[in-house]
Amino acid sequence: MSTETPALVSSFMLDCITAKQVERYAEASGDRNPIHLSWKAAQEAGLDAPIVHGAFIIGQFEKLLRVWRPKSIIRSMSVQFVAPLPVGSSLQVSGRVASSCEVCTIRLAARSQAKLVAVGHAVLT
Amino acid sequence: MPRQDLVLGSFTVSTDNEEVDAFAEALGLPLQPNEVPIIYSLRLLTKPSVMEAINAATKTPAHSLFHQKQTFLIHAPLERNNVYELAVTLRTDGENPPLYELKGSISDMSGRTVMEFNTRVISKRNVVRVD
Repeated sequence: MSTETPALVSSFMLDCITAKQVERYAEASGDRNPIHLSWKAAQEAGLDAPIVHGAFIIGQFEKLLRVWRPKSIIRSMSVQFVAPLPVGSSLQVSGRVASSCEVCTIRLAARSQAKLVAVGHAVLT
Repeated sequence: MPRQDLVLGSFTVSTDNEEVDAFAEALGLPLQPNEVPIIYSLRLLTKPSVMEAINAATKTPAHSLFHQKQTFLIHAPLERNNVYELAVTLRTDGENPPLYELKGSISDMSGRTVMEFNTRVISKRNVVRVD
């Protein structure tokens, strides 16, 4: 039996989510909402700049869970967006074990320059 | 107008191998062979027939819709190169509401529900400012 103790906290950093990455995600996801791709559309929508897809951020939470807990199965996930994330921003994605038994609850957070962008939780078995 | 649940329909969708790979690569998502990301369920919403039904029901331009909250409940993993039925319901609070909730339920061809999700979007256009 392994005596390894699973880490209680995990995180990774994306230094800069580029317009090219957002364009690639838009293409692959089929979500070509212009607020993600066009400065003009973003500004008409009241934003300072195009913003990263919310689903891209959820995808980073899923990435964290899959890399950190590769043997676990994700049973549920919930994410609340707190603030839009302009294209070109950094993103720090982190998870913390909130409860651990047969069912493990992970609290999730995504921050840019220490500012909260999204929070959530996932239940894994 | 009271809260309404509009059934937008049931759509046949698929998890084509190449599309799943492109989607996972765009997210930098490491997958085991044959895995499909959970978040791929939202990719199914952007299939043309599904988007057409959503746009017709919301009558709201895409650029005024912002993702506010997302939940997933996973009963079984999606499989690659498989065909599913996606049932979509739109919950609204009357005409021109500030909030829309899309409820999706994905079933396999035997009728077994494999995943449910709820997407809440806010329409900036329909938000009434109180300040």
